[in-house]
Amino acid sequence: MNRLSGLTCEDVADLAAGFVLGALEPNQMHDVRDHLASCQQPHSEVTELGGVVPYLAESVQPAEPPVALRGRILGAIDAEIRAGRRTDAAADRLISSLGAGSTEAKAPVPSAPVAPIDLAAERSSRRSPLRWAVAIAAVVVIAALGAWNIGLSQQLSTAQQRQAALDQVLAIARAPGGQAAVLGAGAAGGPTGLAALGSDGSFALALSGLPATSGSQVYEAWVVNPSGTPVPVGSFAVGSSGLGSLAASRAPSGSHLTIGLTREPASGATTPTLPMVASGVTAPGN
Amino acid sequence: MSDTSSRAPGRVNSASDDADRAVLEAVVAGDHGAIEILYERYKTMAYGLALRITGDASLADDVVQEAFVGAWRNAGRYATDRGSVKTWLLAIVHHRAIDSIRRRRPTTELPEHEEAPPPSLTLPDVWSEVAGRLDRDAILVALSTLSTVQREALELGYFSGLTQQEIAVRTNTPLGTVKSRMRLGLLQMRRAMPGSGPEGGEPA
Repeated sequence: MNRLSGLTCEDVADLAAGFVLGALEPNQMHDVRDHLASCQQPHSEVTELGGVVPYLAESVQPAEPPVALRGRILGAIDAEIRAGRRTDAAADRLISSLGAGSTEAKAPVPSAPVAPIDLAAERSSRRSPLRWAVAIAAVVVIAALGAWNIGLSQQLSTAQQRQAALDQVLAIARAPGGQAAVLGAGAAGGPTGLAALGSDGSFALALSGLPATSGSQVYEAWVVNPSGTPVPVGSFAVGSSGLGSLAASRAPSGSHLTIGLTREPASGATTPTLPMVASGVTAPGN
Repeated sequence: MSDTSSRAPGRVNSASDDADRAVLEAVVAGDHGAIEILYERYKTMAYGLALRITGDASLADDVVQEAFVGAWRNAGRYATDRGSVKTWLLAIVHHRAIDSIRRRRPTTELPEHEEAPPPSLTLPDVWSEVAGRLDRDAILVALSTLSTVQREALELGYFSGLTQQEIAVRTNTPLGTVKSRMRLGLLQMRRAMPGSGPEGGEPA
């Protein structure tokens, strides 16, 4: 029997029907949610009863809304776009994929409705050692990327680039033995991002807020191997978007390795030109 | 645009689930027009639900507006393994509608801040997948197999936004009885839906 959040598994079973219907007192809803998020028991009763709830919604007679409502909604969304208020999808996915709790990540979004609970994701989130680091970093990333939400329609290709880069990082971080690192400059307003290191030597990173490179200049990524030697992993140039990404193989493997980024006059550097533009230490990503 | 317009309300097959997900992906990517597609597809279900819960056309307008703006804002949070886009949208509408009526009810304690909607758990569940293809008529038939007190408990909890304790007081029924009516009502509904397996599927 688990006693978490002040509730036992038996308590949760007793409250399950009220919970899935949303018919508990606010503090009870909260306690059940907390219990489910951290309990290792399957609580199949919650799934079983909860599966019925969508059909209560669908039992209702559909009704045609006023014609003007459509215009109101689209107008309100236009206002949202102008105000730049929106969850950053890529960063949000990154949070849930890497297992940071959604509670922390909710901060930048006022009055956010949340998708139905995913027990598996909630549970894995509580076990991930990266949880807090990624939650904090993700908020930073959201803030850093927030400007991209303005005039999104004109910047689709940048958004897609960013999404693709983050997807690459997440794929490596989530694979068995994957490690992830939050990269930062240690100063407010500097570049931020994530890197991942696979047990097979695969490597990817995605950063935003990087000053653009010019001429032959590149950013070089380094992994400090277990013996303390920085090993160059790959290089990339950055344009006006400030977005940098890299995918490479044959990176040193190991745990708690330092990943760093330097700015080099040209590709092919064998020793890093200090200072580090951004760095971080890897931790298990799943 | 919508391939569901000719279908009975509530009937959405897995092909249109996939289509919805593609539309939502476009919303996530910032395609302003994509939310219009979702609106056109689900406006009558959303408005019907909002109207049923609030009982007020003007409040229902506000609820549906908040819900679609919320869906636009948070489209990136939708996870494909958590059920259909339709279920997700209707859960947002339900949450907003319940909030709206609780706000009007001075005796009801409101959450300190806006948090998750009453969760409609849609974990991978074969039964749900099958039931998702059923139309509204099948759902109504399943509902009709519940006892009156079971239906009342679900009605007050899900559509009237009352807590179990409030229902106990209002119906002058012990709290334990309210809890078991809700639980048995949901279980009976599940059993009575076609596709629930050999032990179910016998609507009265």
